[in-house]
Amino acid sequence: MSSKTRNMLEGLVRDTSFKWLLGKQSSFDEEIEEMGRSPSAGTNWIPELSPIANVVVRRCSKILGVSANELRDSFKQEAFESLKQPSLFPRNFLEYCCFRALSLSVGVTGHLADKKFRRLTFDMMVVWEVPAVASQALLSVEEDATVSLEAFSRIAPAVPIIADVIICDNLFQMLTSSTGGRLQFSVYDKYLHGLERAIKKMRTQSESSLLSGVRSKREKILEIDGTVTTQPVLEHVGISTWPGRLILTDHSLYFEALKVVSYDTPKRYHLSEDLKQIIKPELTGPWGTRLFDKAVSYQSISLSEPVVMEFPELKGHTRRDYWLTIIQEVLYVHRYINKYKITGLARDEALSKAVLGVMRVQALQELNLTNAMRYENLLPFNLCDQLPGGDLILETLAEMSTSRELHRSNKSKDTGTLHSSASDMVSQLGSVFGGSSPRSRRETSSLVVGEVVVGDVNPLERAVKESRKKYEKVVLAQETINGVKMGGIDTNLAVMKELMLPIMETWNLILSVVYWDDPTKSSVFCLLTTFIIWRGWLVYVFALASLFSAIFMVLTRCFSREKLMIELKVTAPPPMNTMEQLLAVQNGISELEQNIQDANIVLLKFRALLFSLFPQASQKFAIAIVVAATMMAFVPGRYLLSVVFVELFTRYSPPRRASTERLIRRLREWWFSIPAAPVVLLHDKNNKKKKN
Amino acid sequence: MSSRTMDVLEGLVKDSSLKWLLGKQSSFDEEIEEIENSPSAGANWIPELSPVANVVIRRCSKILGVAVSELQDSFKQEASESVKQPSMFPRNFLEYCCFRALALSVGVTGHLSDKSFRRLTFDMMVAWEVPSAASQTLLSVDEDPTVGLEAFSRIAPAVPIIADVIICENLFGILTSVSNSVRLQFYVYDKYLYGLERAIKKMKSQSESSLLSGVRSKGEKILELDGTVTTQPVLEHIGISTWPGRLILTDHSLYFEAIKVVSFDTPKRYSLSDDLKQVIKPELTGPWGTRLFDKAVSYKSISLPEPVVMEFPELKGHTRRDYWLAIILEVLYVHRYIKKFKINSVAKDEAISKAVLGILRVQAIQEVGLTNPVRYENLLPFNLCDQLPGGDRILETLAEMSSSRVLDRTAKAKEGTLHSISASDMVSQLGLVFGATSPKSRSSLVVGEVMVGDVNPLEKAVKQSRKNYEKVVLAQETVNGVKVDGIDTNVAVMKELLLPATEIGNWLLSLVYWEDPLKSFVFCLLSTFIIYRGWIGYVFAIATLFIAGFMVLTRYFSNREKVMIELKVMAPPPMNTMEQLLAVQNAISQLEQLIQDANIVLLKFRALLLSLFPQASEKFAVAIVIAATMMALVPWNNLILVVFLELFTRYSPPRRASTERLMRRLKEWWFSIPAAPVLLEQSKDDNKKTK
Repeated sequence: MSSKTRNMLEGLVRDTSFKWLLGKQSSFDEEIEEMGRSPSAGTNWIPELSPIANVVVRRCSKILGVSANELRDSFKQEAFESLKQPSLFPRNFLEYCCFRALSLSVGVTGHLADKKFRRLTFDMMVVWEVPAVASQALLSVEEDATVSLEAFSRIAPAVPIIADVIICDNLFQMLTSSTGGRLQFSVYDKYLHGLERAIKKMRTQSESSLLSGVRSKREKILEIDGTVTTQPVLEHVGISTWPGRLILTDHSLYFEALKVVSYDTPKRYHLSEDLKQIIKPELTGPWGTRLFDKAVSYQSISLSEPVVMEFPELKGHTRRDYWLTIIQEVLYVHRYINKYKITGLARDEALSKAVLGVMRVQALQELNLTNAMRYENLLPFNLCDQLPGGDLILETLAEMSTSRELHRSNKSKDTGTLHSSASDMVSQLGSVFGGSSPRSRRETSSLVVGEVVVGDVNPLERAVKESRKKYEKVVLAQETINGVKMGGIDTNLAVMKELMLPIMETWNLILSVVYWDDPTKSSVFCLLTTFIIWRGWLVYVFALASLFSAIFMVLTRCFSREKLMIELKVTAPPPMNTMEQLLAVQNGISELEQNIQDANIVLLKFRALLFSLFPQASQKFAIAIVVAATMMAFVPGRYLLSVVFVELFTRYSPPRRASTERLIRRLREWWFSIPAAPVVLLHDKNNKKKKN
Repeated sequence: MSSRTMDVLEGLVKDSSLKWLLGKQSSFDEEIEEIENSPSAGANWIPELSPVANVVIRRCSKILGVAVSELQDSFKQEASESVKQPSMFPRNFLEYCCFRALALSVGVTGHLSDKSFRRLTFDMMVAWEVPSAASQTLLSVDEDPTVGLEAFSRIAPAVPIIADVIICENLFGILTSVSNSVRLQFYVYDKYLYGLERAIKKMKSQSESSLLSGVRSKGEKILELDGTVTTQPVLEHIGISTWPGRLILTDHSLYFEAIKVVSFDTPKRYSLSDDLKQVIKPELTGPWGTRLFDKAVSYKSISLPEPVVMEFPELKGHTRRDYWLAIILEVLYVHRYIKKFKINSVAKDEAISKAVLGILRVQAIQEVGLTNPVRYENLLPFNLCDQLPGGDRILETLAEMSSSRVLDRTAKAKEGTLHSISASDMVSQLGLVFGATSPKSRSSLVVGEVMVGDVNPLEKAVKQSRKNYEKVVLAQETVNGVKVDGIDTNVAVMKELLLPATEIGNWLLSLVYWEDPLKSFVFCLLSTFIIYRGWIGYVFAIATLFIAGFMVLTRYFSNREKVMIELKVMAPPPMNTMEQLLAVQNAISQLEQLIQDANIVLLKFRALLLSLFPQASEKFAVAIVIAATMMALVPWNNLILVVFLELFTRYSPPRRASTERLMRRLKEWWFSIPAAPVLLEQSKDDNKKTK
């Protein structure tokens, strides 16, 4: 494998170098000369366009089999008036030609293998930046041509396999991570080559006999790991662990445990059914310890306990992150389908969008990027799950998909115009796609290619842009949160104590008033509060308190020069040695057990009261309840509130303190005289734990 | 020490045997013959009384130095009419004579060492049971006389050192447990009094010694000393430091002196009389702060930065610790009683003496050599009042009686009648110096806490309290029966107990989530109607009435369905050690995560309040203003209605999608709030004392 890869890389390098050299010399200059000498020069040259734009248009016309002038006439005939404004004409016409040519090209099986196609798509981006004659001077022919994010975002999504509207920003960042923010053809070509190989691999696996007993014909195998040539995947169920291989399709996850010389019957874990699946990273280790962060857990209502897939590797958890992401992508696309009730062709399109996302990730893996990759940024449904407003993006996508479906069914005339959509892309890759309606040269809607609209930003792009702006805020906020996370329970408790300090001080103040430490203050407070309750002004008090909070926030903002006040200063507790930590744990557990026991006794006493195990106590309790109920029913709420407040507040006032203590003692004695309901412990004979 | 104790015991046995034998033969019979032979036989014999009673009265008249007939005249003169009823005359007259004689006898220093005094007090109890001539046949002369609880309760408290009204029943129970009987025998009684005498001597010698001479005031009496060179040391733990030393308890404070080479260190004083919110309770100790040995007492107060722990090492059990815990608490409780009821002067001395005498009694009991474990707090009056249901009433009654007696004493100062023997008088006549004692005087027919022919309020309070106590004991047994070990088992019990509440909660949740739209719709309409009509109060009232009705009905049908009360719980399967350790580790991780998340929430609120991120704070402030305005202007009923509808229809079919969208927007807003930064400072001053 390694040797094969090396040979391929060498071939790629040689081919690229040669083509690049040739292209540089012959691509534009040669064609310009040719066009100059052609007898039909007048017919092919568009004076408003830059020379290189004319070259690209000429190539498109060759692909389409029509002349440039005929394209121009078609454009004028089909486009809206706004698109035909003179200032916008060059770029819009260029987009028109490019999109029409691309929609025809992607219909050819194996078009990614065509070097010309790869070059053409890149040149389209180059030209997009300088479409008009007036901007020709910007291009220096001497330089290697590179393209910007804007050009990439406009052209690349026209070929669904190359990019997707939702993730193209992140894809561009990834491809340009080693260069200064502009895409070079060498990287681009390498990426497309990787895509081609990913497609071939998927086709091979899907057509193989893998999972032949359980997989339906239309299920595509997206990824496989844990085969004899790679590290195994370990499946943990309970405390049992089995090595085996893991296979992800566009509907389910399959695990086949390793047997001698062969694999066991596959276990299927659904991703398409609505089983409330939860998939998240998990830690594993011997005997159920949580030491190694290299696993994914799968949980659903059809399983009694979670299943954990471990992806062992020497360092880090890249392997696990990759699998976590692609599994989630499949899960999310099915949630999207279930939520918006996507059916028919639109459903196939959605699935294909996820499948293509996975293939893009696989292609990027082969580029040997030095930066750590965040896979979820490259998968459209993963990204929508995370982005603020991601649900709006999905909603927009669903609407566009439905709208396109209606257009398609309304107009079925066959023309030689634009082709569409991700599912067509996959069909033309030569894969069998289930549930697809008989493919024909479907009618196109006006000037729409897939998710790309000539000369305009479609609703999907708008939603993505809006979402991205919010995302930056969330990222900033998240960084502050990561900054305040600290290890150790005692340190966190110290932070919590410090944060609760104002509340505790307020509470202590109230307590001192309630306990009549200063009789004058307490008397004034008692009178004031009783008056407020009596007059029914409690609501106004709460309203005023809320208003004061709001005003405080506004004032703080105005005088925001005191940034220092926001910093929370916490004195870290002294470090404990191991013995002290163990003892703290032991004491904590003992106290917890005692607390639970006491709570149980309280509950058992209530049970005894309810069932009149001790009639005298239950009698008293019942009478008290009846009295309370009667008061609740017949006494107006305001009076009741006043009486309760006065009773509670004057409980520790000087005249009443002694009788309060006496009453509390009587209550405690009554409580102690209630027996607890008996408990019978039954041991389960059938519970035999599975041990390995 | 051991050898000396052996000698004392032998002497006691020999002396007891001889006296017993002699007393049996000569006591009653001899005196009866003497009375008959006397020329003044007519004047000394009272026909209404039994012969035994007559003998006792004759002895009393000798002590008092007056003739029996003169006593009779005094009784008729002083007693109220109810006391002089013919049917009650014999016993009441007997009590009158006994109490007067005892009041005089206890004035003699060292009266406990007088064998005839010890015998006399016992015979008084015997006579009390058969005071009348008509009941004479009940006594069989051939049997060794014993006394019952009632006689003991009437006579013994007349001598404060022997018994106290509050604890005499428990004392009787312990003394009779020695001979495995329900009646008290003289030899046990005599042994007890002998022990009391020795306890008094020990306290006297310790209080007059040079112990704590630098820090103890003259008025402070040393009650107990432990950890000396002849006994096991007492270990004091402060933080993680441990020192051996000796512990001294006085009637005001606790002192600890750490051992130094050849001597003791300066005493540390832990006050029990000042109002420092002291908390004293049993504590477990062990190496490095582990909690393995249940042999310690912890003392905590507002004047100490951390609790002090006194450990009382012994080979088996924790009797030594229990004893010290009880006596320390007794001193603490008596001072709380004094402060609470504002007791002062003579009454204060009486209260402290009552506690001191309680401790002396406990020390005496220890020497009787009981086989049953002693619950010391049952013998200490203030400890017992703390535990008994209604114990505060007993103390209240005691305070009232004490105050009343002081008034009586100042009002009447005439000589010649009964002495008012209180606990402080008792201690004074033991030869000890007691501060601030005013000159004694007498009140009518009252001796200490006992009253001729009647039960005083203190005894009534004690009796009432004891009845309630039995109920509490029964209930406590059921509580002990349901305590099970292990956190997982306890959690299982809790889950089972909360099952009805959990199921109701789940049912409500299913309504809220509109799993069955029809049910939810009906519930929503019904609730809206109730809220709109302002009938929430009635609904709650009816619900509580149903609970009360259920309790009443269950009581009536409780005979046949006793089984229903039993709670059946499936015990979780046992975990091995590794699984337990892992469970602990996981729990700690989850706890840390939980605390961290809570901190982040608090820090975000702090950031909102201090406008670290103005946009978010703006939104928050606007929301608060709107809520406040609505609260102020919209009628309460309408507000509740709107809130209920909004909450309840949140997951109804028409609104579900928009609810999810709103939830997502809120979450995104929350995630966009930065947390306020935290600055961790290491404390330089914190130098932990480590080993």
